[in-house]
Amino acid sequence: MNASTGSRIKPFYILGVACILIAWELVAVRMTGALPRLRAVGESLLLLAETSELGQQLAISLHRSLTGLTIGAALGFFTGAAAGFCKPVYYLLKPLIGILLSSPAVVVVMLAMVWFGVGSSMAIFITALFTMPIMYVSVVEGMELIDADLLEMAAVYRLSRWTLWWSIYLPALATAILTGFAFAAGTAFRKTVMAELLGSNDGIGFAMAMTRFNLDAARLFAWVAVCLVVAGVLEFVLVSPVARYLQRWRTVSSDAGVVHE
Amino acid sequence: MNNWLKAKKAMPLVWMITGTVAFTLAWQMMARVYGPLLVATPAETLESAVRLFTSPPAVAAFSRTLGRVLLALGLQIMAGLAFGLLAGFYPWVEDLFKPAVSILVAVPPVALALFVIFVFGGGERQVVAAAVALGFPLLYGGAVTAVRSVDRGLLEMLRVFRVPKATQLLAAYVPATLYSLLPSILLAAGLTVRLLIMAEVIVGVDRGIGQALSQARVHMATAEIFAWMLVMAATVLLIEGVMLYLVKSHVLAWQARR
Repeated sequence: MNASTGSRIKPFYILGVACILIAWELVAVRMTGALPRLRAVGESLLLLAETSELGQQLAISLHRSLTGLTIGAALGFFTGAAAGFCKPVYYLLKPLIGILLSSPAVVVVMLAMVWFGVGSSMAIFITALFTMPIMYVSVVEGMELIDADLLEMAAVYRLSRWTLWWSIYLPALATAILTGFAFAAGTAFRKTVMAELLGSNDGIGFAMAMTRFNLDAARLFAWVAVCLVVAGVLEFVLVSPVARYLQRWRTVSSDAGVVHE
Repeated sequence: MNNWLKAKKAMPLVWMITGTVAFTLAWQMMARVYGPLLVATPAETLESAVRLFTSPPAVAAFSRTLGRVLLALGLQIMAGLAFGLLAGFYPWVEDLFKPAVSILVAVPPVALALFVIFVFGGGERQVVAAAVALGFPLLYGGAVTAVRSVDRGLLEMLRVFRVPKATQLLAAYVPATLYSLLPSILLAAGLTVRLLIMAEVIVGVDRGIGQALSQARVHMATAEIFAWMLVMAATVLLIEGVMLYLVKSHVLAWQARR
């Protein structure tokens, strides 16, 4: 995947995009009712933008995912740093993190709906809960990567605590935070949308759920397009620059961003 | 010395057990504070989980969902391997697939589940299809990377000895790819369980854990939801544990042979 992230425009990439669009149109025309025409999706999108519904729902969802992400990332950072510095904490937290990483989010959403009711706090809770382990894992791994030789050298040369922090721990932690944040950001938005879809009165997820009841497929795909744009912006602004930056000295597993539900 | 080493090896386990106990205690306290309607106690949850395993409908739902998961995983592996091998061989194929794969990665899974309902209607096959599509990029990406990392020396040798292309594929690429794909399969298995339950809940398919969960929510049976969560987490951990064991024993056997 990384080999082809050049700046050159690839003809086959464009062909791939064209194939999707053409296949979409063909299916839409041949099997009426199954898929809306691209034109209808575009019109739906325009309508959403004109009625300012797009801006409103997008702002609500972005606000929720950002709040959840901030809380989750902060929690993940502190627990991760504690686990990185002190091995017992790592093992102490292991069962909890294991459960968090292996629980289906919909089940947790169902419980959260009982706890918080329907609305903002539920979505924020879900977002925070599922971004926390990502930041945690990133920080723990980042601390593990700190060179033991480097620490020994620091001890031998009796570097001050300040120097130790400033030139060894801080760079490692900063990198880990950046990585964790980049990977958690995409997850945050998807989790917010999921929570909204199952239990909220507003936001993009709720708007998507409404299209189901109104049988308005064009509008659903307009919202999906909005989600894709958000994901694309995150990718270009956050994830790829961070991945490129990291690649300078270590290989990043490209899987980390893919594992979500 | 020996004792000290043993003690050091046991340390993680001791702390992990402490963590589990602390977690259970905290959970118990939460249950006391908030009451059984909001938080089921650990004992109630365990009791409910046991009841699930002795009630035929729950067992049927569980095995039904597990069957769907295995089907989806198998399809993911086949599709990931087939498309991944192609894309790994030919960079232009990778470029061609890239937009579609990016969309599958970026789209919120719940939105894809809704898409499936709109286009194909609800049903068991549709739920499996959604899980396959959402899990596919992981195995596809793994296969592409695996093909690219096949031993160059081995390939050179096969070429020098003019081994037919088909044999090259079977002798070098498929084993190497499958081997380095194992960790991805591991990740995909856990992911597919979660994706499938999500799809079941959203699409609202008959018989399965998704339906059992929705019913438990309607009846406000908190202990049952907790129990399902426990069962699902245990299943995912078990799958990952077993697969991890297989990978490890495989790696060790492979290294011993070298």
